[in-house]
Amino acid sequence: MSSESLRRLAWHPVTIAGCLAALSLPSYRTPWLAWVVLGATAGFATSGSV
Amino acid sequence: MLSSPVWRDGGAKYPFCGGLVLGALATAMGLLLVGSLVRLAFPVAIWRWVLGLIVAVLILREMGLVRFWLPQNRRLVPEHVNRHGKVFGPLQFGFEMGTSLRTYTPSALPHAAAITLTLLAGPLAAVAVGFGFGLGRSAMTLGNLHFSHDNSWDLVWLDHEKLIRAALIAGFGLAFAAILLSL
Repeated sequence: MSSESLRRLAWHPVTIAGCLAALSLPSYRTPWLAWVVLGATAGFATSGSV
Repeated sequence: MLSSPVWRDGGAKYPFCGGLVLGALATAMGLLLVGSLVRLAFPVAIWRWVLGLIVAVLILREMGLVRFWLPQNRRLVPEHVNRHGKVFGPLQFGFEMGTSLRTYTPSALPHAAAITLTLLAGPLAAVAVGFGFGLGRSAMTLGNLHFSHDNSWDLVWLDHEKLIRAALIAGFGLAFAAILLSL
């Protein structure tokens, strides 16, 4: 896989959304992370169409 | 899509993203202040039930199962903020977008996060939410810029909207549950 393809994969919106969702998994043991994920998922959700 | 030519100018993305985070932190502090007064009306246990109900309804809306109006300021930040220079223009633009008070809000999750912050968060949690919200918005900007140079990121977002919304709802829901359980 070329570096160009890797870069596009890394910044793909599904990848970003998936990473945010995955970050919520360990948040039950780290409350501050839960608050960050709460804000980040809400912030990223505003990228959608209007 | 909430994209703008302002932050497409190479070096503008950093002050723009910085502005997004600062704007989100400003709104978070404002909501914390409002919440400290609102919470006096009822005991915490009651607020938890009220919050759970409101967030559940907002998530149903996000899933497209119910439809209703949500407050939002349907205006875009004017591009004349460019007059303020290559740093302060994007910074101001980002700040105003980051507050979510001068932009479209095409999702119910920011409302759910705002009401959760208002009813449950302490000062550090409010900073965490504001910081996270700014990062989430910045991810849109950085993703768009690094994915391609032709705004195709927006089209990819639309093509995968259901999957992206499902992932975000799952992440938000798990984080919300973790917060409720930690109280």
